[in-house]
Amino acid sequence: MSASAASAGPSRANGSDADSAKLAVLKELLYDRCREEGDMFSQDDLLRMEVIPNRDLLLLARVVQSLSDDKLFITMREASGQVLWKWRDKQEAHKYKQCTTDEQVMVYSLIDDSGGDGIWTQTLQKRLNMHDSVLKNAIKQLQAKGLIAPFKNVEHPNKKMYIKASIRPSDRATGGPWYTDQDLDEAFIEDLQRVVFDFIKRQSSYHSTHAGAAKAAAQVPKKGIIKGGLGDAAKGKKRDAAEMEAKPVAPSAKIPPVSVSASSRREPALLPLPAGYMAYPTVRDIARLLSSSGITNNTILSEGDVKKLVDVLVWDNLVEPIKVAGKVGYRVSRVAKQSVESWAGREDPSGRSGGPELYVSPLTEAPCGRCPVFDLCEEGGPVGPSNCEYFKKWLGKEIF
Amino acid sequence: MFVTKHAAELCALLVNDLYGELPSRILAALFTKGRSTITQLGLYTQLGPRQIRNGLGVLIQQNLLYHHTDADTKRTTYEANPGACYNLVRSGKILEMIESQYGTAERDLVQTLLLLGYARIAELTHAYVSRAPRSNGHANGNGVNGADSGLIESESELHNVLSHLIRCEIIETVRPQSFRNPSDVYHEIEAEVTKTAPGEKATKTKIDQQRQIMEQYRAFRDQPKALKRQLDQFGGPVTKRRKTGNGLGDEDRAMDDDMPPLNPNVVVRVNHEKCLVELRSHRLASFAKDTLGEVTGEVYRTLLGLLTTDVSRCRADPFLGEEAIAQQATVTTMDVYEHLDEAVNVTSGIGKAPKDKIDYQSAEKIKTAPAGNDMIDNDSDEDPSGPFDSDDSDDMGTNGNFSRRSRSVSKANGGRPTKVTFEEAATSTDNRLDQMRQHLLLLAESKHRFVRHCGAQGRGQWTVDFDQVMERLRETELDASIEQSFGRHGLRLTRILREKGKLDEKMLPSAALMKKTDVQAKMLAMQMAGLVDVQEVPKDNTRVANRTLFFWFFDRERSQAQILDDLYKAMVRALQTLQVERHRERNILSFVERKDVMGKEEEVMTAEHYNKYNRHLEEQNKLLGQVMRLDEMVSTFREY
Repeated sequence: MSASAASAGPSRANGSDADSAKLAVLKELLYDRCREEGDMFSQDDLLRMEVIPNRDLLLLARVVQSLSDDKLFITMREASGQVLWKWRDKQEAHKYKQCTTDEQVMVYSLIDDSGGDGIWTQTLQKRLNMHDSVLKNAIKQLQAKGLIAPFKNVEHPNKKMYIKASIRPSDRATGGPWYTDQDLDEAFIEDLQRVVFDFIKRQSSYHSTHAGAAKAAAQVPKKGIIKGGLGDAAKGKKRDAAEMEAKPVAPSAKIPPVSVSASSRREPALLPLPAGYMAYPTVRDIARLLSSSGITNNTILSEGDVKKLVDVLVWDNLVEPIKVAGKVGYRVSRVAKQSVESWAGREDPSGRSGGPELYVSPLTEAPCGRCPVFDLCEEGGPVGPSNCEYFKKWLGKEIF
Repeated sequence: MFVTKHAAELCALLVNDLYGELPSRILAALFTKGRSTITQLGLYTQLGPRQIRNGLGVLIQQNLLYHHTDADTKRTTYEANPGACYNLVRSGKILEMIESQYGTAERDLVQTLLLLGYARIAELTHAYVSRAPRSNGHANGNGVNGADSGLIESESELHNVLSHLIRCEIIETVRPQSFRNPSDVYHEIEAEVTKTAPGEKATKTKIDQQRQIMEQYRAFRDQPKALKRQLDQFGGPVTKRRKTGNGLGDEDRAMDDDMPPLNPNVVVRVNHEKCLVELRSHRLASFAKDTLGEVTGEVYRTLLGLLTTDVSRCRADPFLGEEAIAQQATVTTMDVYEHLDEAVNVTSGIGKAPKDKIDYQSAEKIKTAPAGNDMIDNDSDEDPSGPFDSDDSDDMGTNGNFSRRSRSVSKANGGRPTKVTFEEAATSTDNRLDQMRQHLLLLAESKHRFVRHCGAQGRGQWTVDFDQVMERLRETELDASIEQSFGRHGLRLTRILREKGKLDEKMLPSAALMKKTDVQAKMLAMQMAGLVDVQEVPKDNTRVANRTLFFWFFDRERSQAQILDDLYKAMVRALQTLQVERHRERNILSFVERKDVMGKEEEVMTAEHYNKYNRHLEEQNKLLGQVMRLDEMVSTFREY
């Protein structure tokens, strides 16, 4: 760029009025062609557009230089050393005109180049090699003109970063929908997980009020539950257990009395669905539920985001992926032991009631599995079986 | 079996509890010092040769030692048998299993054998006949177990029970070689086969030698089963497992009457390996029950019972390699159906779904080979649901036996919203069979892959890939203990690492949807516990922290070994706590042991003491119960 500027400079100085008018026309023409054609252009590409008469390289150089000066062209260099040009929107280019000093132009162009990720002030300083106060001044002025804005990047929360005021920070910089004010919104994630878990649980299990219900004809309880699920969710996160239970009970009322009397001893329980069941909720279903229920407020969750959420539930051993007929759905783990209550919207501090029932290891049930001084425990040592407080408590002998 | 400090401690403690301090001390010395002679043992334990001989006698009687007398030097060395020592803790479980699977008489016999360690059949006969002289007259020669107690009361009855158990491999014969360490025997055979006489050229190829070693070793290993084979020749194929309390058992026993009498000089003992196979089936069934529900668990239990009749050990012998279980047994749906307990209500336990939401093609998919590690990827080559009809006709064309099954399937597919015929015939066997098949399909579909649908004959053939299912069970146990020690987040992080392998520290927070600081704290805590570890890869040779990549990884084997050792320690502690409790209540306990007090504790003791005594019994139950549950986990990680 600097080399071509040096060669183009004098020629422009000697140019006549007609010459400059022709130049302006050519500029316009080349710019418009570029906008139509695509993204990036090499010198050959530009020549091939046949805007420049006689393939005059010198003329092309002048035109391109002039476009670059107007910030309508961005000059780039490939790794191989080839120079490429990219066009810039006229409105954007106009913003450069607002920069009054060279420093401002330089700072603004760097911030512009960094795009949605933003740029750190230190990086600016290193690249521009400016004096600290000059840089600060330039930034201040640019900010005053409304061209750039400070923002925080979640990956580097302590760095002072700037971004063009006209664009939104990229997902990488904001951390996507999971972040609120540059902080991971754990409460939001936790609550969403519960909603998703409840949804999967309801959709992937059969709610039996008693053992006899299984004998009933092939009912269509699913539809009702889907509707109910969405309706409940739309009302907000709080759904009480009674409402939940009411839904599945309705279809089971159709059971012939004979089968009910056969065995109606069991508590309401969840049963697995037959093998090959195809309607296990997929990521798309879950995403649809979340968006239609409106619980995410102003945050928009893409399918990828929901997939992330579901993946976490899978890793937590709460749900499991199941592939039927070529599509991957999700169903609840340990379906036989899960409670029929919903997990979301509960206020109790333990967060456990109505939540997923996980397999409890015998090791951690006994004192030793949870013992904080297990490694030290030795007969004759400071802690040992003869003076173990935890065992005493476990055996219910706190009096001693 | 790899013996850690805590495992050795546990074994010594168990022996101490059951057989007293002397054998326990000798055993502890053998564990710490390894293979020893009597003189060496004397040095280690500070005991006189007489005492040592007494102690060794007890240990050998209980099969707790390996011993071997070298043919050249005539010196005898002793070595602890950690597996057998550990098995002491399982005695109760084995008896319970025998009682429920085989019957009271069998349980009684196994109990006697466990008590004796090993015994000659003549001795057993003597013991049983002299124990019940009063009933000798009426039960003699009858063979049918008429008494209420269900215990063995005559010689012929004893022999029937004995041969039944021998044929089921629960009881094996003891030979002098049974007391040798199998790895010793293997190495001896190996040395024998590979050695060449001076001047002789090694002519045999490696493969040939290997085959020969295998053959000889297998011959050694199968020695205790010789009697079983002998009995099998007389009695035809092994009779199906008998159930408690129904008529089937008596028929079996009556059939066994034709057996030739057993050689009274044969020495027998309990075969723990086979018992473990049975216990494993039990564990797997309860695992299935836990994941899918009670009825499904029952169906699975029946299936496992059928599959494992010919399985004599849980894991292939390390010396014989994988070939031992190369040919996999399968059972058909009909078999399972015939053996399923009538009381099991197969109609319950599975939810209903509209027919159009069920893809029969994927539910009925037959997998001829064990699945790979990732279920989802493994299936991806299958094309998504095609039209069912054409698929069914394909099946019928290729396989005659298949047609019956596919007919019923296509009937279900036929677009009828409700199957009226099905409901009316609710009691018909066909319906029950179909319902039960649903449970089997459910088991096959589970992510734990309880069963594999491996063929279409007899309305579907089923097999179990034990390695895979057990791996899943181990995984579940491991997950549970991680979850309870480090919370959901800890579990999440380790599962991410297990799925993705080594992972850059920077990737973890975004994958787990956790705060960076939380992740770091959790990972650090788990690193301290030895579950995860970090690998540092410097980007350049400055080795500063911000130019270094940190890769976290989860070492499954190490975590399992770690948890196993923790289990041993927890068991030791529970037993030691019990000892402490016993010591604390020694006055009451010694009082209760008095002959004039036993049986009428409530009358003789004061209320205060009696309450204390009861409380102690409760504590004992609690502690021993806990030990049993821990043992369940140990078996899962180590033996099954």
